[in-house]
Amino acid sequence: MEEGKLVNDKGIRVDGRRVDELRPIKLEAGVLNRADGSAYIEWGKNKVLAAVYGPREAHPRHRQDPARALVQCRYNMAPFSVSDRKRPGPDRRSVEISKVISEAFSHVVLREQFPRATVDVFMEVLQASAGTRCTALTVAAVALADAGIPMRDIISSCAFGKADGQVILDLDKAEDNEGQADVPIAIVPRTNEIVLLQMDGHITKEEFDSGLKMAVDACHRINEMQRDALRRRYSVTADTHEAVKAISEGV
Amino acid sequence: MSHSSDSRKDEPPKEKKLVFPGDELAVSEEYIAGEGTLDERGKIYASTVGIVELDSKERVLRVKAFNPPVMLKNGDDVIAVVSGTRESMGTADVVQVEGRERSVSGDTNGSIHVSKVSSSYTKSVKGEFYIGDIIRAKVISIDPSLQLATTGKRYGILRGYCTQCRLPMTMKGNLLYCESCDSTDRRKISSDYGDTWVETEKNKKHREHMDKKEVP
Repeated sequence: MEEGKLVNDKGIRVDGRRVDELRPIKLEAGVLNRADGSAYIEWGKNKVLAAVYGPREAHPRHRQDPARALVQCRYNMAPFSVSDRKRPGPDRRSVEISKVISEAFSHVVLREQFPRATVDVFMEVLQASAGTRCTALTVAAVALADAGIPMRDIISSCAFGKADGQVILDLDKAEDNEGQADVPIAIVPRTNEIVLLQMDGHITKEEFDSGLKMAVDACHRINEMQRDALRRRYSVTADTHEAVKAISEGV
Repeated sequence: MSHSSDSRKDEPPKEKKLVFPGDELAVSEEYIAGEGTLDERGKIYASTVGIVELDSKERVLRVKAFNPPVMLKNGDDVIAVVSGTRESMGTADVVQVEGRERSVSGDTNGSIHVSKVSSSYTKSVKGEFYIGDIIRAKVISIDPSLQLATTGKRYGILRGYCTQCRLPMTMKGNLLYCESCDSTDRRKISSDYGDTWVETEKNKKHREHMDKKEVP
């Protein structure tokens, strides 16, 4: 590969991926004992842990909505998640990410079923390497499903962008830093509604359209992985439930 | 509505099917959308992860979640902490529904009317409960407000605290006794006062394990 090129002539990127290829994803549901729902993801070099609590009574009281539940999200980066130590606590960036993720979930959670309550979603970024908001949102959606929160769908998220003049999927760190654009999106897979869309950089309309199509396709693939993670979690539970029942009934 | 005119044969019971939020289950004409489902534009979708249950008699489709959120309903036995007492009414915060690990969703501030404290005549809630007492109560109303009752032997204080020194009291006969200040109290005590084990799915295994261990 030529020096300083992000995408070569054959359409192969620095890390060996094709332009429409995702980084490897490992996803597991139900990893925390004390949370109502939880999940863990490794997406490329990103590692994010998500926990869901509730629905529970919202505090302070004046923030309660008498008609529906709140979905409160907290995206937090561990001080050791990036190469230069990050100062702990919410900063401008993580407050914004928390807000957009919370808005995305507010569209799918059936909030009317739990008036005055809150659903708390915590996303802890343990290791960050470009695309953490998509990673966090994807894992939090699994944690919400694991918590049994009624939702219209499990939302999935992925980014597309542009580097070396080429539209690419799921940017890694080098592509994010040196590329021309980064567009994270999140969709409701069943309806293809977009619930999150942000953009950093410049991109033409044609490039945007082709990238969006690529990212939506990728979101569907990610959704399948999310379901797989839940399937693995609950097939175990279903078996144990059956086993316990069988023993207690003396079968 | 008559079901006898329904010429269609009821489907044979399908194998247990695991579904995820957003899965299309049926069209609205086939079934009524029950718990764990949602009806949207003429179709029924699953709204939680769970096992599909078809009630072919009532024609209701439900998705039974593995660990659904805890919603209080009439008749639930709950564990609550007394937060205030007056002549005619006491208040208590519901901490947990018995048998469930998860915390309670929605309103947890319940009230107990004097008439619902015990089955015999009670003059005042003051003296029956004190602030901080942990009680077992029954939910008797949700709407418009959460109402609790402690009539019945099982219900009442599971752990009471001394009003002077705040130490947990022990049961002596049908009275509560504080060892450090040598005082006694007559309160509405539950039949299993003391170290009550609130059993849930999760800690059941743990208890069974510990029970086995104790046998030498």
